[in-house]
Amino acid sequence: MNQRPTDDDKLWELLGRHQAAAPSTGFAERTVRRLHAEPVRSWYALPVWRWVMIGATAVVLVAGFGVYRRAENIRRAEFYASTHQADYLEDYDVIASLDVLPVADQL
Amino acid sequence: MTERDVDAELMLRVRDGDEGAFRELIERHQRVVVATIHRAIGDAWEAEDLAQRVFIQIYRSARRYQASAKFTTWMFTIVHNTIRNEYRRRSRHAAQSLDEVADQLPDARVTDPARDTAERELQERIQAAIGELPANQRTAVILCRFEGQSYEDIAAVLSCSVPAVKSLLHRARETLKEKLRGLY
Repeated sequence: MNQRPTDDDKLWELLGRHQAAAPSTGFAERTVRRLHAEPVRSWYALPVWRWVMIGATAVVLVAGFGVYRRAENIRRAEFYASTHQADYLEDYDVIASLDVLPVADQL
Repeated sequence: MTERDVDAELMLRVRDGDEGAFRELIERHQRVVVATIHRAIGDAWEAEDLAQRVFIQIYRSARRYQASAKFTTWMFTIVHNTIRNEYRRRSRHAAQSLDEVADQLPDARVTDPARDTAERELQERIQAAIGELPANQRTAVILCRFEGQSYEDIAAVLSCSVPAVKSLLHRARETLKEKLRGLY
């Protein structure tokens, strides 16, 4: 029983008409020659602009960390000063209130 | 000895620096590699240049090859990555698009003087439609339709699951139907 070809079948058949290039004569030989002609690229043999990008990124990260640490120290210092001052003011209030103790509380 | 065993054997010799084995490996797979790259990028000269780079990378990565792995899967993974890198490189140098480069270089091996205009146009439209697919869909279509690779092998090349490959192929087919409407 013959089934009618679907759109998928027709598309697949159409794609099959596409002709690809074939390797030219001596492809293997030229590839081997090129293998010897091209130096092995090491991981550090990156293009200059990539090294510049890596360096710039490192500088930004280090500088950013420094700025963050400095801001953090300032914030902690301010927090310490404000809490210390609050404690001091609290003590002052207690001492000041000793003068107004009720008579019944006095010895 | 199966084809798979032959490739594995050759790769083991390549790993030991045997250039004769390397040459034999190239001769066994050059047609497939050049054709796959040509179908993806549409420029025969560039395809041959990139195919050479693929084989050089195979030679230099031979130490990493596991004999248990299917050689063609490993090879197609390198081909796929090479094509992707080429598209990236060309998108960075967007002044010359793929079409422009293809137009500038007359392709003597693909362009047969006897072929009529309609046939040439058909080839160009199929090429353009395949070339415009996203990278994974493009590779899936080429490997499935032209190189007869199984879903499992394509999944290994693209590092995805078999259902994902089926989905890629389905989406690619829908796109290609849209772009090539009227030609089939």
